[in-house]
Amino acid sequence: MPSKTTGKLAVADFIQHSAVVSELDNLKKRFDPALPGGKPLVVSDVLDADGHQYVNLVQKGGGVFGIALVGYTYVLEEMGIRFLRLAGTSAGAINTALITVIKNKQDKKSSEVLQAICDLDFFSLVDGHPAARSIIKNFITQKDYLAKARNKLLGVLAAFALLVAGDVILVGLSSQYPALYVWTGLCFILTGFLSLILGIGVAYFIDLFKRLKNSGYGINPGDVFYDWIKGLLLQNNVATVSELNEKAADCPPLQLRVPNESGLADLKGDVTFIASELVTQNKIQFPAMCTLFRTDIDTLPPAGFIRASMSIPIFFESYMINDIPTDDPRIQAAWKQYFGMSHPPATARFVDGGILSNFPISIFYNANVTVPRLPSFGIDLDDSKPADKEDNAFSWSLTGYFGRMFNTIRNYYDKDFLLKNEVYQRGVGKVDMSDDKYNWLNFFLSDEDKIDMFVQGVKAAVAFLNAFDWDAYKNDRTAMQIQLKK
Amino acid sequence: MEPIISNAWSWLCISMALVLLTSFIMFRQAREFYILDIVVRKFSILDLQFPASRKEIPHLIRCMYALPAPQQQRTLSALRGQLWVDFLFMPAAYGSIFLMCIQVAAKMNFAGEIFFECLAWLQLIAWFFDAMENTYLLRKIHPDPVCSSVEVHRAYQQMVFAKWILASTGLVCALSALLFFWVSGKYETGSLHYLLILVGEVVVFVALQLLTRPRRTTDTIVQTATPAA
Repeated sequence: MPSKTTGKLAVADFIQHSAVVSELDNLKKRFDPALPGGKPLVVSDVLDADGHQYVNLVQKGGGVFGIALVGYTYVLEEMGIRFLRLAGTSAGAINTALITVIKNKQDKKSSEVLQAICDLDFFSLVDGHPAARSIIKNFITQKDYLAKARNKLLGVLAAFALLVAGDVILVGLSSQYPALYVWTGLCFILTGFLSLILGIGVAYFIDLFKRLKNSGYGINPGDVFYDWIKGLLLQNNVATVSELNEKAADCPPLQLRVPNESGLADLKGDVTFIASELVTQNKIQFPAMCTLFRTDIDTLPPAGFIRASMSIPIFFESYMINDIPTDDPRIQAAWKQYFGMSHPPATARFVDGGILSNFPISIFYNANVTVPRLPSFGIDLDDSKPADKEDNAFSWSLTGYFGRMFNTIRNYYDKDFLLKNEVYQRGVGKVDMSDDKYNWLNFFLSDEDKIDMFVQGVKAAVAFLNAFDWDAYKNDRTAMQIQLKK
Repeated sequence: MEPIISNAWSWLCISMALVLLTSFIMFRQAREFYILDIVVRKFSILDLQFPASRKEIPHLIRCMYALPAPQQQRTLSALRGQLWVDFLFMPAAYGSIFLMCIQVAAKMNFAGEIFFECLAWLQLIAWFFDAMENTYLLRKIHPDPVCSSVEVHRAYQQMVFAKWILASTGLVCALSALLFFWVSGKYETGSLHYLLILVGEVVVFVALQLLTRPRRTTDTIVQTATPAA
């Protein structure tokens, strides 16, 4: 199990933060019809008996920026919004999973999610070799770490060259000047020691690389995360895929604010975690696609889906599903149905869903509904670096070049959907984390950093709700559907 | 030191031969070091000596028992065998360093003599730690290994580090000083025979290693040893 934080960070530190209280108060006043100038908040036509409004919600991945997602969903919950269908990738999958399993659909869940964050020592998730942990920590927390490391290495090599030269010169001189005899011996021993240090350094580097290779090119096993999320699922009585599906589908009786030809019959809750499967090179939607891997889906651990979705390549080991019964006709039929493949793999290997679809809002697209009953909300974490936003087409470093190429590939799948279905963009709120203040892989956040990220999420949600117009959204989506049907 | 060790160079040649012979056996045994950690993977004895956490040793051992029966037996007997052969390797290895330090001490002034004699006798502590380490690992190898307490794990880590530091310091200091004495003409020409014998032993060792290089890879292990894959 992950270690607990020793600090005193509490849920109240997040939700009673002055900025959070102030933002929320202002928002509530704005949408309080009892106050002068106030108007009711309307974001959906689907309601429960207590007046909660239901939306679909997709949460983007973004490493530790996931704390901002909790700030965002906290505001939505406080404003009486609840989530019917949920989807997420990577960090988004974690918040999605917790919102799904904690209490009931009509309840607020943010306090419990925050409690889980308070109890977790983020650094314990970096559960690889101590040397790797140290390198990662320095690399992420020190901006010029690589330059410093390079300078240190050059210094050691220069010292080694000087010592070898000293050995040769002193041996020559000591025959003429016996007083140098002791110094020559010392110089030889120092050279030996430096050779040892260099040898150990090289051997250690080779050993670490072998470990990386043996672990399938993942620095951290991710076992601590797996145990953590599994523990949280079990605390909320979710041990099997069936229990996860039941929990996601379980809804209070719903009603429509205004009549809709589509009715309510097909409105059901569900949950989706996105992972990338490398053996067959496909996007996998868990738990819907469990039948690809097992005939009895309850033999798969639901915690594995979230672990698969957050397997940041290289940073975490891939998540594997072994012993897929490839000869079973049901498995073969599932692969045929989803991917048109006749030969299922015996082992599936998953990495972060974010490399294919970090913001899977497209899964909420429903061609059968003309007039939407509820919107699809999305929380976008803008983690692009300031340099990535520059128009400059030249003077890129090699890493910058590859970074832009990778970002173009990984983002375009979701971007394409939003470009073609622009109205969905109206339901997307953006948390701006692009100021280079934080690194998305910084698992060494201070409590202040965590609270600050939460506040950023709160502010983004407040800005989104202030700007969101349900009627305009509904009209535009209806117009789009009618146009498509033509 | 003459009364303790007569003709230390001859003894060094013999102990080095034993070091290389036991190393050859242990390298061969290490070729069977596999675990089933979701997929079949190689591991090295260094993974057991320098575990990332106190859970890693029990985890690795459990993964050995998770292997299909034929490979599991090969891996476990190879690991146990290597740990037992290591008991033969230890006196030869630490003894070799001891002999080199004693030889250097004999050529040193008073301070140097004390320093190198201390280094020589510290090899006994390194030997003791190595033996403790092997005993600890041998006791861990069973189907349901228990995770050691933080204190025990820390003591194990400290023993391993101390062993490596003492042995490598002794080896480096002795080799550096021997090289210095040799290049500054403090040894007779006849000592070259011993150097040639040592180099010859290493050449034979390397040649045997190359001739008996394994042809089997992890992939073939997966195909032959993993029933469901």
